[in-house]
Amino acid sequence: MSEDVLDAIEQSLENLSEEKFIQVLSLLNGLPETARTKRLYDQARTRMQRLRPLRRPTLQRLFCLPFEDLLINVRKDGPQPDGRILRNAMASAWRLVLEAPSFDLENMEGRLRECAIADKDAEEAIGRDLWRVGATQIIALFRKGDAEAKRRDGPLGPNGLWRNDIAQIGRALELGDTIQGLKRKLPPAPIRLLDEESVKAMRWAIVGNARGDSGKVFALLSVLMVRVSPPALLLERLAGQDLGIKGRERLDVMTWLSSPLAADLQARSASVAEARKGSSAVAGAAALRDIALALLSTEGALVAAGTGKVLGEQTLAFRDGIKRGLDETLQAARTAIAQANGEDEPTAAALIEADAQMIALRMCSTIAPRFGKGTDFSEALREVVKIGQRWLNTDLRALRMAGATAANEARRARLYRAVRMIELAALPTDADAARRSVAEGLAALEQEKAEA
Amino acid sequence: MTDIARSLRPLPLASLGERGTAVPFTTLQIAQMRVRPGSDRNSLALAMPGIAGSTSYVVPWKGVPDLATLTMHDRMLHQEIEATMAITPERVRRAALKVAATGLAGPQAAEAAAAGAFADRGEAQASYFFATLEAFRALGLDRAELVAAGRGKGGWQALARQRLTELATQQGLDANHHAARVVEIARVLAPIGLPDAPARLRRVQSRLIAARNRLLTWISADRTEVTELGRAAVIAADETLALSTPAFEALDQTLADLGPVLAGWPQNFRALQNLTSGIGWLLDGWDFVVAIWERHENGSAQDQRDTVLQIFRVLPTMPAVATPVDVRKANPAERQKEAPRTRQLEEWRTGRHELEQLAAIEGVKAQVMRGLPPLPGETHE
Repeated sequence: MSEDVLDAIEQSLENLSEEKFIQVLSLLNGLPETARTKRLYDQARTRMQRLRPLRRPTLQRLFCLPFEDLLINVRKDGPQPDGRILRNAMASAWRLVLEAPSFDLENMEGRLRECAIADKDAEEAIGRDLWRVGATQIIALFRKGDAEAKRRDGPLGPNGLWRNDIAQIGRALELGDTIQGLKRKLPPAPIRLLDEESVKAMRWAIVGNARGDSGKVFALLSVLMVRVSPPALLLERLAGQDLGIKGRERLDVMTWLSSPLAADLQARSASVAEARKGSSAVAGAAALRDIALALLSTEGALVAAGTGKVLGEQTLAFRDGIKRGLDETLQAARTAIAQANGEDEPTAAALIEADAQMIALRMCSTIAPRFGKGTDFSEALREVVKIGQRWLNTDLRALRMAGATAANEARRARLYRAVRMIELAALPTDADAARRSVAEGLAALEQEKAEA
Repeated sequence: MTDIARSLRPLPLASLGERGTAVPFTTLQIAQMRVRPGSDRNSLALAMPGIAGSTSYVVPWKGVPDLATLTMHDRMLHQEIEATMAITPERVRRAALKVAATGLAGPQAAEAAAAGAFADRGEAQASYFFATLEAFRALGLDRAELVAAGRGKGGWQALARQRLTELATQQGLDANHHAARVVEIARVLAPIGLPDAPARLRRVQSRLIAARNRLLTWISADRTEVTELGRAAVIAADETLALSTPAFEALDQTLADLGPVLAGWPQNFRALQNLTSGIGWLLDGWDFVVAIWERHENGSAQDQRDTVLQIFRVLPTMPAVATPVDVRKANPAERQKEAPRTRQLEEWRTGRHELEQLAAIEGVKAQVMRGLPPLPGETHE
């Protein structure tokens, strides 16, 4: 296709009718991958996502179904986690399918056109044929041995760079049916709680279909792990289970799986830094707590999987990061609470900040003991309660003595604030006792006023 | 007037009353559950919706504190609603503003409550002014004079009272005849406002339409189990709008000429009053839904799905109209929610969500009390 045509497409991509847009997409699919077509594809992606339910999937997309969750773009900020697949490698695997002697593109496209839009069963039936062709091609490729891997422009990429990716694709294609079946059985991603039923389904799939092949076990676990949040949860739940592999092989799989865990932690700690930079103390505390939970989960999982040492140094660094975060939270909370409870009437902004910081303090107090900061946090919370109690005592007494009304308004407000402080820092029963004493105190005042 | 009476008929006021009024509790388990009359005249009850409003469980009001560990704010709101027997949307709003103003739901909610109460007063004033203008037109009085009188002491209010009293005396009526009626009309219009001076409920209506449309767009892009719950929300919005839109039209038609209302007192006024309170009942609970959707619609895909789940739980479905989805059985997300939790470190894992969600609910609540802002380009005050 000439550059002119591509220019025209690029300019009108957003304005095309739906039908035309889909036609252009299938045209693009058939073009060799160049920087130009790639850019067009990226440009079209947003609209593709919007149109998703309306368009028929392309053959290539059906081909990708079993491993689509594993696809990533080239990483600039770190090593590629084990088990994930570069998009470039996927394109190469798809070319292998197109080149297969038994593959009849026209026939396949015809079949796809014939199935009704959104008829998932029919689509998957086509997909199954594609997976079979792909798996056969990849197995044949690896049989050819090292010569193929060293070929510069071969399907394994420059200098065999995509070797692992293509192997992973091959395994996922062989397990295509199993993977799709599991996806249907499990709750939608991200799975935050793994119930017994789900764990059993996973284990059956692994034992029954990977049949002791450690590569396949790894491929299945990789696909599953992406769908679980935090991913360590999966490892934790499956570590103690019989997966049909033993000894050295088992340890290998567990070690490979630890690599995406490190990447996950890395991503999470980046989001903590991001959230803590933002203005809301609550969001920062939530992010901090999430990474702490992910870390604890990961540590537990690694210990359970017998690979505790794999991430040793990295987890230590994360631990330090979390401890720092906890210290900062504590410090920020102490400052804000002191500012909102000084001699002078605090500003609205100071009150809002202190309230958010108290929530952050309470949220982090649940994880603090696991990082050696339990005492600090419970002390800080006790301090909040103490301040609240002090306001209750002084303000109720002051109100009873009557006097200037303007000050009384502020005192009333502070009484309720004290109840809130106790609620955020102590047990509901303590807060309720405070609330009652305020309600009764104020009611008694009303009574006195009425009688006077 | 027959027009008003006809437009009123389709509003299922009785069943809307039975549905109850959403209460802005901050405790997650009972947030937006509805207060309604109890089994006898002097009691209240809490209606907890089943899935998609298909069945609802009714708990005596006194038993509410046993349902969950209530926040201090909710304990006070619970008492306030009982003390004032607040079952209409307007009364529940008043109780909620009063309790939130204490600061028990945090300083932001307190500030929002003060702002909300202030805005309510401003809108009531505006309604009063515009209703008086319309009444002047209907009665053939000089409106220009009223506009020129301006605000403040001796301003338009004093002038209006004077002119209305003069007219009544001239006509041989009780001196307060017209003035009292205008006050009554302004009172029932206050939460809605007039087309030229939209108040809170008009804004809820226009934002509901906008949110419904964007939710529909979201549904067509999302293909998970939650999608169907989003669809249920759109259906509920459509069912509401199918009644509220004509109700607004009928109301505005009536407001275009207040003559028949003033002449056909009290029947026609009662019809007007039913129309305004009907709109209040219809839109009740939607401000919360619109506010949470607007907060999260630009978030991550997961955030959006969580929001739709949350919306679904508090959806103001129309009573007696079954929503055609049976999601509970088929939905793995539901299953996940109910899954037995057998994890280690259970206690701090379960406790962890609550404060965050409380903070989120308090945030939405603050936004709702302040009143939804007008849409860009929409006239406001």
